[in-house]
Order: sequence, then structure tokens, then C-alpha cells
Amino acid sequence: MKVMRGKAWVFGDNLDVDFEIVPFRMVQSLEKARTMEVLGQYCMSPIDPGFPKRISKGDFIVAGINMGCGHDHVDGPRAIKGCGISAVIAESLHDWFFRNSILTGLPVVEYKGIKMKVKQGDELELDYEAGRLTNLTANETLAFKPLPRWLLEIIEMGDLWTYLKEKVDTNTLDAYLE
Amino acid sequence: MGKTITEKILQKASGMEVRAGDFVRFVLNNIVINQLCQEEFEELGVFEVFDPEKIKIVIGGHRGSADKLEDRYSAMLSAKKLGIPQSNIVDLGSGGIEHHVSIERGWTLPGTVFMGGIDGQTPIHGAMGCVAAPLSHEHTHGHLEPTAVLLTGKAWMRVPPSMMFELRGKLQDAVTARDVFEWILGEIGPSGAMGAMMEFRGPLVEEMNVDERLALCCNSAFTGAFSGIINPDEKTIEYVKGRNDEPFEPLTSDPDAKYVKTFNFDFSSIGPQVVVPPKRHIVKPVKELEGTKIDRAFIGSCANGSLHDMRVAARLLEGREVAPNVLLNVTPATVETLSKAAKEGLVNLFMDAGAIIPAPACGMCIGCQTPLVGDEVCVATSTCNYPGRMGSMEAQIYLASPATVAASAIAGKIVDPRKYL
Repeated sequence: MKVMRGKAWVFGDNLDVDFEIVPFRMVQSLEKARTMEVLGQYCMSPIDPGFPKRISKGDFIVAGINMGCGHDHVDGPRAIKGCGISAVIAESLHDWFFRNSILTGLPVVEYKGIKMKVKQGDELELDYEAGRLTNLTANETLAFKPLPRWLLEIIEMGDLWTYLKEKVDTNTLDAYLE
Repeated sequence: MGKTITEKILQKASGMEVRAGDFVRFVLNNIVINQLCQEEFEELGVFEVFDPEKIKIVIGGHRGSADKLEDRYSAMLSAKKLGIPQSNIVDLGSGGIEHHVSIERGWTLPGTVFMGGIDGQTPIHGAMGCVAAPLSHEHTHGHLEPTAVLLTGKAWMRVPPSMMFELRGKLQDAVTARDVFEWILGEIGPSGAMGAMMEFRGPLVEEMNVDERLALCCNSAFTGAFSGIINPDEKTIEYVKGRNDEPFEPLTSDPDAKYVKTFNFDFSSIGPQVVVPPKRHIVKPVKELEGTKIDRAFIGSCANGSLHDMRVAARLLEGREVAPNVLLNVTPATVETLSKAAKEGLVNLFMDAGAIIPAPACGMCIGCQTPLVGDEVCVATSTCNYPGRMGSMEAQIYLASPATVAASAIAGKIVDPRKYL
């Protein structure tokens, strides 16, 4: 997996998938038009309407505790990935947001104390596979436990759908999650 | 050292020793889904699922609209092509909210991992002694994880640590299991059970019937928890045995199991609770909100659409009428519940009170039936209250128990149901 590099955008605690991250009513009204890119235009809109326009492709979201709480709606990680964010690093992630992010192909990291280590606008470098996050601005490297190989593979392929398609096309469905 | 019910279930399912934080993989026992998309299988070019007998489809329960049947059409077509037996398909007219349908039919088996019920209220199955979590799903490009699960039977999760919630005391009249959960949420906050399995136990839980336990577990995730669970007892086993002849092995926590945190709460002096919009975790005693004018009221959803909930509501609505400016929607969770409520005379009682009774489904909880308009104020037994959940983005949603909603619908404002007994 390629090493990611970008700027940190710092957010608070308990961001609800359907409230702060991307409004549920809007998602519902888009029906089948809810592509990742369209959802991306509304990412964080209830708390920071200009967010998707201000970021550069590859930037990071750094969040507090219980990131992605609320419902199991996968539109949250999809909106974040769709607006160009390369990864989310949080004090803690809601388990369902964690699962949904991996399956959407959005790298996510839990790091207790991250808000003390990263400030708004810091330049970060993330080696997801190796479990290494470097704050280039503060010149500090943090280590975290990487995902098992069989989950990394899904993110490397792009998302679960692409991964599944590949397994079907190469007649290796038996190797799903192996 | 002893093990928790969660560790035991995941150990059995994965065939591995498990510890909190481990990633585990397993084959699911029953897969209960509410949609099945023809397009995905077409695109993948596969029409062979891992085990057609294990796949159960509950049509229409989720969207709950009988006027838009494209999803039903697609599901029926795919089911036929995939060889899923007709007896595994619950159609409109015999189904409802898929969680309740699954529990009613005994598909939710104690001692198993339940991932299906593609929905944030999947922890409801924890009430039957299952480790329950939703599958990851989206509409635009494949149903994502459900499709993968249908093809392989396999799913994964990260093993959660367990927190023990020991609940004691005798509930006051008109105080319900829903109030118990919301009070806990108010007490521990939106990340109070972060990443953990909430294991509800103690004399108060033992006292509860199956319906009340569903209301207790249903909303577990709003404390930041992975899910909720209750150790199965005689009530659980008797309930499942009467509905499914499939063998199962209920598992329970060992007395010396290890918990990352233990809470001990007495509910004897707790009154009705209300969740205040727009955040899910702002919980207040009803007395602080008494007098808040309402336009709409809703009794239903997976959290409070059971027969027990219908009885609680009926007790307050009997011989009374809903306030003239208020529209009350009462939606039983399933056709079975509606049918039992009708036999008990509850449906007539609701009609006499002036309530609208749509077909069993998630319905108004997700704004599919009688959605909120403009800046209407609603008091509901729904699961969520974020802006737009039940319709208009400007509407306000207060969440409360069926007793509080019924009493408030009569009064036209939020009231304490204990005063209306």
C-alpha cells in the first residue's frame, strides 16, 4: 500500500454518521444517485459547510472519541472517502464505523492521545500497512497495530465490492477473508 | 478464568480462543436480510449462494411502503434464481420489521452470532442471547457485505470487551424498559460503553419479558457500544423452542468472567425519561419537559413495536381520545403483533382514540409513513432523533416510552404518564 501524505483537519468527539458526517435525509433523498463523489460534497456540511471545498485530495481527518457513532449507515465513510480524504485517525472509532470504513476502502486508525499529538494543519504521513503515522510538522512518529493481512487486502483492492468481484472473476471465492 | 457469553459465542463460532481486540471470522448460522438485489448478482455473474436454506428474506419491512414494490420484484426474482426456498421468504402481509420477524420465527438462535438485519438496531437480537451486529450495506453499488455473505456465508468482527450492567429494583408503574435504557444512556453518555458489549443482567432484567428485553437491547449502540446482550434463561429458551425446531445451544457467562467495567444501577426511584432533540444522548426526566406542545406522536419501531408495547399504550389510550391537533401513528412491528393486538381488542381501542394504524413496518421511524412536515414537533418511541430522521429537516423529535407517548398524544403536550393511569 502506498504511503499517504496530507494535511490534518481536526474535529471533535462523537461525530454521528447521520448528523454531522452526512445528513441522513439528504442521503435518503438522493436515492440511487448517492455515489461516493456526490456524498462527498456534503461531508461534514452540518458543522462545516465549506469543508469539502477547502481540503486537498489526500488530506486526513483527525477526530476525537467515538468517531462515526450513531447508526450503521455506510454513507458516513463513503462521504469521507468521496470528498478526497485519504484516511481517518481518531481517539476511538465506533465499531460499526470501523467495519464500514474498511469495507468501503477507507483506511482508519485508532490512536489514543492523537489529539495531543496533532494540531489543525499539521502535515502527516501515514504508512497504513506498517502501522506508522508521522507528524512531519512536529517531527514525531507514532506506531499503531496494523490490520491483519486479510483485511488490508480489501482496502488495497479499493473496497469490498472490487475485492469480491476479483475473487469471483479469478474463481477464488473460497479465499474470501482468508 | 471464566468467560463471558460474548467470548463463548465468538469462540464457538470461530473455533478459536478469542480475546478482546482480536479479529475473528466465522460462518453465519442464519442470514436474515430485507433486500436482495438482482443487479448485484448479474454484475458478478454468479447465481450460487453458499446455502439457500440458511437465507431468509423479509420483504418490505424496512422501507415499509406498499406503493413502491420494485425492491420486492427484484428480491422475488433473485430468490428464485438463487434457489432460496419459498418458505424462507416472508412477504408483505405476513412480515414486518425484519428484526421482530426473525425473533418471532425463532431464526434468532441463542448462542449464535447474528449478523444480518442490515440495520443499526441489530443489537435487539442480543436480547435472545446472540452476539449481534449489522452487516455493512449500501445501495448504489451492490449491497456490499450482504452479497459477500450470501456467496460465502462468511463474516468478520473485532472481538469487543464486555461491560456488566447489573440492574436492580422494581420499576414504578408506567416506567418501562425503554426508560431504563435511556436513563443508562443519560448516565454514562454517548461514549460510556465505547467499543464494548453491554451485558445487561440482574433481577430487573430477569423480571422482564422477552418484549421488554428487546426494548432494552435495541438501542445499545448509542452509548458507543458494539452491541448489547442478555444471558438466555428459561423465558428465552421457552420462547425460541415454541417457534423453531432447529437445535441450539444457549451459552451464558461464567460467574468469574472478566469485565472491563461493572455498573450497578437501582431503578426503583427512576421516572419516565425523554431524549431531547437534536442529539441522541441528551436524556432528561419527563418533568423537565412537561408542557412541551406536540403536533405528532408515534408508537412503533423495532424498539417499541411489540405486543407488550401495544398493551402499555392501550392502557393509557383506553376510553380516551387523542388531542384534536395531534396525529397519533401506532404501527405494530409485525403482522403477528398486529393480529394479536386485534384479537385483544387493542386495534379497535386505538381507532376509537383516533390513531392511524399503518401496515407493520419501520414506517414513520424512518419517515416512510406519515412523515413529519415543516417544523412539526413529534414525540415518538422511534430509535433516532437526528434532523430529518422522520421527515422534515426542521422537525423536532423527542424520544420516549410508549406510555409517555400515549399520554402525551392525549394531552397534546409532553406529560408524565404516571398522572394519566
